[in-house]
Amino acid sequence: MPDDMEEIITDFLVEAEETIDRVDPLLVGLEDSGFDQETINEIFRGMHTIKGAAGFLGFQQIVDVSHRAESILKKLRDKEIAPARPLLDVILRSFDTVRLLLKQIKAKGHEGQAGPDTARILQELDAALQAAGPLGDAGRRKGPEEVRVRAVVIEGAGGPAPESAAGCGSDRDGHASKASAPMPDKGAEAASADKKNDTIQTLRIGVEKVDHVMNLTGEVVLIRNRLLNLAGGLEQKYSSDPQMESLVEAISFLDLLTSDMQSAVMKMRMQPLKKVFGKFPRLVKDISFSLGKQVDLRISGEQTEVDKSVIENIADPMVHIIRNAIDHAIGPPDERLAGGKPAKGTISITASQKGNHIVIEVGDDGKGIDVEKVKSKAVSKGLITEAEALDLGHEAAVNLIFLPGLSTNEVATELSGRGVGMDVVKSNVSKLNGFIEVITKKGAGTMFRISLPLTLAIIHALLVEVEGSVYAIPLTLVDETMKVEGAGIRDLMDKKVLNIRGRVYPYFELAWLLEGRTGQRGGFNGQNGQDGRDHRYIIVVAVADSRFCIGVDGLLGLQEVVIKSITGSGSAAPSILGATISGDGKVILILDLGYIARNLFDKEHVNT
Amino acid sequence: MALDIKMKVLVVDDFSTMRRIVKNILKQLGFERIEEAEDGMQAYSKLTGGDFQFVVCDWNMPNMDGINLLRKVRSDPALKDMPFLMVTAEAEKHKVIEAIKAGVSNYVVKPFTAEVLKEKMEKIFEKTGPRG
Repeated sequence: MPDDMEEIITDFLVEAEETIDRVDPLLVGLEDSGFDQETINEIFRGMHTIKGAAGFLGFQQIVDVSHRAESILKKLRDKEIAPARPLLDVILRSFDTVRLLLKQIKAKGHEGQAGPDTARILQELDAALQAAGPLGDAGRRKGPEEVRVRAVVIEGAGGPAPESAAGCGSDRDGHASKASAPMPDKGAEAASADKKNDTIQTLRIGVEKVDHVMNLTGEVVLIRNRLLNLAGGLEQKYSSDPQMESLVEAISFLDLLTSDMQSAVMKMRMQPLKKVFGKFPRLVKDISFSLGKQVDLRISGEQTEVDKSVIENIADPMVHIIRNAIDHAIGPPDERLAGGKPAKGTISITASQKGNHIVIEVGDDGKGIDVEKVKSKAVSKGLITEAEALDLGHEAAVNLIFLPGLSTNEVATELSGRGVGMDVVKSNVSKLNGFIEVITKKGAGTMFRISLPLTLAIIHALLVEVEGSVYAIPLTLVDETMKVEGAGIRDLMDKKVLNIRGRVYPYFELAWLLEGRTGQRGGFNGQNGQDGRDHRYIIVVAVADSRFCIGVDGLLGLQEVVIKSITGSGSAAPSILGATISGDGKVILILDLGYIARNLFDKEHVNT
Repeated sequence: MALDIKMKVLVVDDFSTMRRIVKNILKQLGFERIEEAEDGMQAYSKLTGGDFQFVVCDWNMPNMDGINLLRKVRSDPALKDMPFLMVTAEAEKHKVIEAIKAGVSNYVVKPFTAEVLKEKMEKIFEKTGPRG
């Protein structure tokens, strides 16, 4: 039984949080919808349900808070009190308290003294209810009765059900005496069979179980890769053997099936972005209100599904971008009007799937980023030199905002601009193997575009060889590959560069990048290539806004690889994302190009 | 009188945690044949199809709430005598009276313990006698 209880509590925590996440935006939108009664009812029902389950599980603090919030909602629904903003605000705060209580239970397994101060929110809720004006005389008359009945409920929460409940049976003796008829006939069964099929069956499964299936699938993918490899070899050797054809056929079926299985398991982990976006209306409302600004939030594509890890990690960066937009980009109404814009600013958030990427855009119609200001700030903070600032193009200058320690706002406000911020946004996005771009126009607005891979566990990789070792490079970051003559790589002010169709790219040897960059950064210079070859294979890499070339000895082909994290003795080199096992059973290291690029270019900003 | 623990019970609640809690309590009492429904609509279609002998139903639910399910059950000739226990937190007089008028067999205020549920069920079946 204790195990059961634990599971029920886990379920409750998840379901209660989901419920709050669902009703929170409804409450935020209530004012705009003109206090739609059905919406109020839905919010009421959410709190009511949480209260009910919490009562069973003995979470008295949640019962107390949700009960009071529920009472207010009920009176709003029944039009006993007039809707007012303070009421909504205090209910929103009670949601926060319940969230905190849920978190505490999750962490400690119980409610406790150290938890959030429920006494205060209870007081606030009571005060708000008392201050709320009645809506006509009918409401006023009902008031006292409500209070009395509520006291009964609280009493009941502690011990057995109130007496009035037990007395119910005798109240309806008349009905009961008639009750002993045959059970429903079987005819109805067939009729309802169709209806039954319509109901959606949902199963709640622990994440660790799904992840386990995911890992096993990964192993199957590795074995499939090996089999494909082996079969390829055998086919050449025994091409005349009739069984060979069947083997190849069976393996290609396995190939197809594993791909299907992979995407099926991936889908199990996918959740709609609504889970994250649902929190934003409240956020925007709170921030814009506290800053005296008017902001209209438009959200689209919230049904787009992404991996669970994206859901968990994308909220913080987005919150930061939204805060910045309201705090810095969108001006106060009078300032906007003076600039010929509508008083109300707009923040639009869109999400969509583009190929095997998810693209999330957060745009505002604010001031745009002042590139010159960013540059001078970077110079004054010693992040770049003045000469470098002059050389920087628009794009590169805008991207300075992602440098640690740069904030364009002179005064750090409570909300944003504490010097930590955009760099954290960028590193969070990089952690998800994604990248972020900024498109800004002074006076017109700014858009942040975050691109994330659909899945994080299985990637398409380009296998490359350097000095006899094989490495995998995530294909999403590869722009193109080509073979160049050694002479094509030129020296430009002590740096190796490569001219591709008129564009000049920095050039690095992979071996040099991996060896902690000792010695000559260009490594190969046409005359003394390791084995005397006079050409080089080049990978053009695009990480966020930076594009550069990596030189390798050979390109071995594409493969779907399963990322296995490296654990054990010592820590893996930071430039290594993980490892995978190739078709022929060898361990291949997967390069973290995001890290390599950051390290490369951030260091250069500081050092040169 | 001992309860017939072999009877088939339908638990109706929109909150899956609540369904689990109620199921858990029913299991403590020895019941094994327990099915669930998410709202009144689903419950009604299950009831018309299956040989249920007892319904434990929440009041507040989307689509079709407890009281409307009760009314629908009572107006269905095949189901009109179905023992129906309403689970409610709203121990308000007018609501209880509404449920009694609609023909509820009994009601229980949450949270309740296994003992309380047993007591309520025994009361219901004392009156209606063993079924099925």
